[in-house]
Amino acid sequence: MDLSDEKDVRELVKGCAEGKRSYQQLLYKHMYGKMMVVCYRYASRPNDAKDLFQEGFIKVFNKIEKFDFKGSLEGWIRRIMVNNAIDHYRKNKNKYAISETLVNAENIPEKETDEGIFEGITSAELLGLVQELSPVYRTVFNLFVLDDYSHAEIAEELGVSEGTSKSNLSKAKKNLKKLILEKVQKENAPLSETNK
Amino acid sequence: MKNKLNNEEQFLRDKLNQAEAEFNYQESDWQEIQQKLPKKGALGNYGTLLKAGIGFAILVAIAYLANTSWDDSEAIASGQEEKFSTIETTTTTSEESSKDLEEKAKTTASNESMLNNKESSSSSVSEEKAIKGSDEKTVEIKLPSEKEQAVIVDEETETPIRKTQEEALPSVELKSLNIDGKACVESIISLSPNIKGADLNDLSYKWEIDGIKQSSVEAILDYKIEQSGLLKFELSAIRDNKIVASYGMKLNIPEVVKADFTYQDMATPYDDFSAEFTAIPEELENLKWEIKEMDATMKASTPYFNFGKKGVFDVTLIHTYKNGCTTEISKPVFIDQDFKTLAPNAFTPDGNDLNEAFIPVGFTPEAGIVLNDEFRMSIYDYNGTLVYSTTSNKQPWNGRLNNSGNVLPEGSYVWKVELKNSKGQEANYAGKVKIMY
Repeated sequence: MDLSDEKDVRELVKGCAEGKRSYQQLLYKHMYGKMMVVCYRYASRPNDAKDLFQEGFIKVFNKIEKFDFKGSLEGWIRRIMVNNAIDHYRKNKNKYAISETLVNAENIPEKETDEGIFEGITSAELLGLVQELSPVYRTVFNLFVLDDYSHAEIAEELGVSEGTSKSNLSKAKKNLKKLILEKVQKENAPLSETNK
Repeated sequence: MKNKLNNEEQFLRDKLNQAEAEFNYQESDWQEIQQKLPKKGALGNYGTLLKAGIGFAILVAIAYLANTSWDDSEAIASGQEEKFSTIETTTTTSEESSKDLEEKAKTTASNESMLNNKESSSSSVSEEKAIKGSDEKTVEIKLPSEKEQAVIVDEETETPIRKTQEEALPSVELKSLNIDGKACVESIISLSPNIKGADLNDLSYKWEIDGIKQSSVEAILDYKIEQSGLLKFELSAIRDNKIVASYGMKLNIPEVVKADFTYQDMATPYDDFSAEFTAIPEELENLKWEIKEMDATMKASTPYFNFGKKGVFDVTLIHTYKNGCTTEISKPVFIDQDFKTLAPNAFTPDGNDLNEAFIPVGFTPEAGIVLNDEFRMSIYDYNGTLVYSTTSNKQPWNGRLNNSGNVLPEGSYVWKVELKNSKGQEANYAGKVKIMY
């Protein structure tokens, strides 16, 4: 099955909509890595990510008969996963909203950091650091940088002002940068000592 | 729409998207989700099974099943111990009907021999006969030829019963259905018949559940209950394409009562990392809360729990409703003792009505925290001399020695707040504050 071929996609979608397990499994398997990353980005820790993933995929299978073949199937599934993550965020919003507004990002200069410092970090490590961000920062960062939501859309989805979305994004990036620097420095520290 | 990203954002985006490779497909994940997906085509394999398994293409019409009458009293399976006590049942043994059938068949045979029956004018081996059952239900019998045995009958249209001529059968009695599992929505019950009689090995079975039919060589059926309400089961035991016994049963599946909960991370000045939980809807009873990491269970409807540390904890709320059915909800709970002193780092007691006095706002009623606890705020100058002290969180320091006299000189001072609550918990906070003009 070739998912760049529309005929195959149609067959796959039809099979899934009919509840054929083998087709469903094929789609699940195919999207596993891609969608797992999406869920990991929005979750606070691995177990939550897995829950988001499973829950999201149940929604995918329940809705797949409504897929209209206008965009890519992957994009459509991704939207469902992201929406599911947003729903989760909203449900828990009241619980962290208060503390978020009081938290100020650490004082790190706004200027762009030399990307060189990021080179030392692996994708998996970066994913772990994104999970360490606070729920609000993480959600805004993900929506804007990874999932192509505009600040206006983020504001609407999360029930905040556009300005809050923008400032949350910049704080999220600051915090993430700080986490990356800490991580990179920690890893490099023993090396530089032995080099002496 | 794609956002315009700067280099840094683009880098992070690309890097994170590469993480895809970190996740390898897990068969166990699929197994897990598969069970939660709606079962389509799980039932209704009737035709296929029949076509595959049996040489005789003979179906038993539902007309026959009318012998089995439903008891209309609501049968409720409540918990495993007492599940059978209230189930009303009807049993049709084959004894009566098969004898009856045999008799009628003989009658038909004798009629045929006398050529009195106009329907027997055909000399074909196969003949269609209408035999009247004792209960006035019409049962059609077909004597199939070799060729006709291969005919596949459309089970959907429930075509007339076709039966082979039978010799007397050993009687079979279906006494009851045993249920394993809870009669709850979403749970899987295993049904097995309590069946008696000779030669049970050659029986096959037909289930009818809420109008859906399924044939099986196994008498045991695993069934996932999808919705609440009255659920009808009927099992027919079939030997040589003839129903020899059947049994009907109804289960009342209680409405699902879903529970949810919210929690409030209690941001107190004390280092107790606790939260108060509230079940939704609030009037629920029979609740059980589980916090695995803490090895804790609670039963109240709005329990208060001290986690003792910062972190994310999985909290599960189990709600037991009718018949021992349960629903369960698990959520991560973010415990982040997040008390802020909100102490200004400078103030200007210069008489212009702005920033005239100092108090860490986090301890005041304005911050929403009303402390009935023992409170003491002390201010020291940089030599360590006490310059102000109060036990009221409504009395800020105005920058003067003991709040009277002259304003003290510009410079840094140290503040200290000591708290003690009725439980004896203590908390101390301290910081620096500058006087400026």
